[in-house]
Amino acid sequence: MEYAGVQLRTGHLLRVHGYLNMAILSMWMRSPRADVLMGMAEASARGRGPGGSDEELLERVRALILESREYFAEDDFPPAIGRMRVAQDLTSLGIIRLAGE
Amino acid sequence: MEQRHGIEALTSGAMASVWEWTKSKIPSDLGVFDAHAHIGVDIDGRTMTGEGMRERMQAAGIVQSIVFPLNDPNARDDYSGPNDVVWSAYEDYPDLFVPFFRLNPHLDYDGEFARCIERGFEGLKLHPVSQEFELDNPKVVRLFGMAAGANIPVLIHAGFAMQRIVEPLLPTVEKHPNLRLILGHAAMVETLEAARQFEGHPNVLFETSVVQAKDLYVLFSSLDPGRISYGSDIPYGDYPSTLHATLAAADAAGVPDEHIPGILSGNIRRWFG
Ligand SMILES: [Zn+2]
Repeated sequence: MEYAGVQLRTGHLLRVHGYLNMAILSMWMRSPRADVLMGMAEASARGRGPGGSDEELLERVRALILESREYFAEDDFPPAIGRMRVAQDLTSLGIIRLAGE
Repeated sequence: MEQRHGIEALTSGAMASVWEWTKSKIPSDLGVFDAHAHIGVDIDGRTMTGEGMRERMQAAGIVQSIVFPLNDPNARDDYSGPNDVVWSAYEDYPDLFVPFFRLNPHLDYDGEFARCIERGFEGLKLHPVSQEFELDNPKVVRLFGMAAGANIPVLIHAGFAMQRIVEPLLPTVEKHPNLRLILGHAAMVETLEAARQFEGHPNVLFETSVVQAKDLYVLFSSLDPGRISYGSDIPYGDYPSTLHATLAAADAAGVPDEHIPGILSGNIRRWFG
């Protein structure tokens, strides 16, 4: 497995966090592009993260985004936005924890 | 369209482990107090009833909630209609709800203020974004003075879309040290500056609803946790995700477990008999 330092791991999680932010905002604003932005967030978390050390976190984030998209497609907003909120919170707190490593 | 907003949809699948962790952080004998929830109708189409709140609270183990109107299309001049809706929900479930009334500071509010105090409402909710006012508007400053005089707390929307919070509010906080203020959404964009400026004002509480965990992490790292209170902002938030944000942020900030009962209940519950 390739080695990845804390900076690279942080960089990757920041990317995912940023796309989640865009998706969440578009959901609140009822943007017609919300589904596209949720798809971008899903894509940003796809594939193993650098070094593989953050897989447990990323696996949870992927599952939350996937389920969120399903609820959103059924026009069921509360479980959809709740999952995105938790995905973003787990990611941001993961970044904060990394900063202390 | 059938909405599955029940606790199952909010806590199943990928949320199951999140909810399990969240519940493990809540002491089993603790009834959670929700410092921010709405009952009524909003111009954005969202609605919530007293019965809907009761269901959600029961499913998530919440024993009491502060409730107040949404940005109601029927508010007209004085908010009396939406305030009546909240009062009737309170009459249905007096043990569950702590009723706050809402006002539009631009309009003549003296009559409705007096009516609500007389009736027994326990606090006032103000929303600077929805009702389009600044916190240092003279009519608003006068209202803060009336609330201090009536000895009722004021919950201010200090969250999304706010651009000025600390600077316009500080003179009021300094002038009325006994006025109990709840900063709804924990002053979000200005949370760090608010923590610094209001640190020495123990009657200002920070309420956590729908604030991102990273903002709450900064807040918990910068302020006595005895000044922070959990809120949900139902129907905009839900219990599992907002409880998770608050508890995960406190955990990341190293807040000792002994502070959790205060954050989830005691810090604000002591304000209401
Ligand atoms: Zn609210």
